[in-house]
Amino acid sequence: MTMTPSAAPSPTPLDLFALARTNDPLLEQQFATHSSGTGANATALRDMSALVLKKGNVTVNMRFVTLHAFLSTNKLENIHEWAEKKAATYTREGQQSPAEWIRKKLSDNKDINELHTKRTRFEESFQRGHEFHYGALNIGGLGATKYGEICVVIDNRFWDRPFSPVAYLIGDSLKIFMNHENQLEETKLKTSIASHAQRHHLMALKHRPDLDSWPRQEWSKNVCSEMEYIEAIFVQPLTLPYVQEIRIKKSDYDRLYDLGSNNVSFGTLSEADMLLVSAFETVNTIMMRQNLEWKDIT
Amino acid sequence: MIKIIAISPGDGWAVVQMEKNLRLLRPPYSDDCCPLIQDADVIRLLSEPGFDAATEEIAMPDLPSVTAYLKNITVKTASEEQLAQAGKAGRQLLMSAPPDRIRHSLERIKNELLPDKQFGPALNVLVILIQSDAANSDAQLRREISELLEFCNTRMQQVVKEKTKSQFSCLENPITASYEKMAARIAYGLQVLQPI
Repeated sequence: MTMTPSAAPSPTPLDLFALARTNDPLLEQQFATHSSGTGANATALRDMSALVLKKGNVTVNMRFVTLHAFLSTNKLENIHEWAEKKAATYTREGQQSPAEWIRKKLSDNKDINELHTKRTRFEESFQRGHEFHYGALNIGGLGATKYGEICVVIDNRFWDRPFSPVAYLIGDSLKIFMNHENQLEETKLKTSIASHAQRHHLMALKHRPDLDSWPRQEWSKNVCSEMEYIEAIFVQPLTLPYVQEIRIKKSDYDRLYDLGSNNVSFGTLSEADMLLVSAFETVNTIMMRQNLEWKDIT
Repeated sequence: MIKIIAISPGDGWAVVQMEKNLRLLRPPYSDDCCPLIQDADVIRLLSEPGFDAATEEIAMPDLPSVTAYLKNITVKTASEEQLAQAGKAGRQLLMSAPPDRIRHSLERIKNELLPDKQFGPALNVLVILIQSDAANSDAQLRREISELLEFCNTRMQQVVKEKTKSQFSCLENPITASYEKMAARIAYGLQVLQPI
C-alpha cells in the first residue's frame, strides 16, 4: 500500500460543474476537427459519439447490500450522508460526530486513513464536495463491477431536473487527478471534463486512438469496465423513479437461480450460499414491488 | 501470508493484501472474483455501507483459508431470522421467477436431473414451479411443467415397481415408502393444475 503525506486542500473550493461547462466548447471543437472527413477513424469517432447519445447513461455499481438499502429507503447515500444519519440516530449513546463515525468505519487504521485523505482532499477541493456521488458513463455494459456486481442505470431524465448537475471526468478522479502529495491536478482536470451536453464527445475523443482496433460489439465492454471508465460525479441523491434498469451478469443471475433451485432439489446448500440466494431473493421481491426488472447481460 | 485489509461481513466481500498486491475477494470466490485493485478502489469500497476496515490484524496462509473465514463470518453475522429466511429463499425465488427462469429450470431438470434418474429432486422443484406466479399466468408454460411433472411421476412409478419386484414385503420397503411421500407431493402438484 502506498503511503503518501497529506497536503492542504486548495483554499478556494472550485465549482466542478462550472469547470465542466467551461471545457465544453473546447471538446466540441476538438471533436469537429477529428471527426471531419470520411476516414475510418473519423467515422468510428462519429459512430461512438452517436452511440453515447443514444445508449449512454450514468450507472452506479452496487453490491446486493447497497442495492437493498437503496431500494428500501429510496435514497442512495454517500459516506458523508451515511455518517450524518448515524450521528443523528445515535447521538444519545455515543455522542459521536459524523467525522467520528467515518473514523470508526476506517477503524483508526493508519494506512486506510492515509488513503481516505486522498478522497477527503479531492472533495474538499470543490464546492459541495461532501455531496458528491460517483458513477460512470456506460453504453450498455455491466460497468465497474469491482464496486458491486449490480449495475444500476440512471435515466437521463434525472439530469433534466433543476439543480441536478453532473460532471464527466475522463477517468477515475482519485487515480488521475490527485497526485502523490494528495493535491488536485487542477490544470489536467480542467481539460479532461465535460458537462452532460458534451459527454458523448468526451467519450469518443478519449477512445479515439483505440477505435480502429476495437470490434464494435465490444465497445460497451471496453469503455466502462473494471479497469476503464469515464467517471460521473453528481450531487442529487438518486431516487427510485429515476432508475431506468438494473443489470446483472447473466452467469451471476443463472448461478443464483441455480443455487436456489439446487437447495429446493437437494436441500444441501451451505448456509453461506443460502444467504447469498436470500439476499438476491429479498432484492428481487422489492424490485418486483417497484416494477423493476433484472436485465441480464452476457 | 494473506492479510485482510477491509471486510463486508454481511456479504463476504473483502480487500486482501497478497504480497505487495491488493485484491478484492467476493463470492463465489472463483478466479474471476478476485481482481487486482488499487488504493483508490479501496477508498471507494470503504465508502460503501457495510464495508469497514479490519479492526484487528487478520492474516491467513492461503486463499482457501481466507474464503473459509469469509464464509464463516458471513454466517456468524447473519441473525437467526436471516438464516431461517435463507432456508426458504430458494422456494420463494422459484415461486416468483419470470417465465424465462422457469424454462431455464425445466431445461436443467431435463438435462441434469432426469439423465441421472434424479426423479425426487426433479419433483421437488416441479411441484413448486407448477404453483409459481408465472405458471398461473401462462397456459403454455403451465402445460410444459405439467408434462414434465407427469413424466417424472410415471418414471418414478416404473422405478419403484422394478425395485419392489425383488423385495419380500412392499409395505416395509423404504423405496415404496419414499415414493409414497413423493406421490403425495405430485398429487398436490397435479391438484393445482386447474385451467387458467
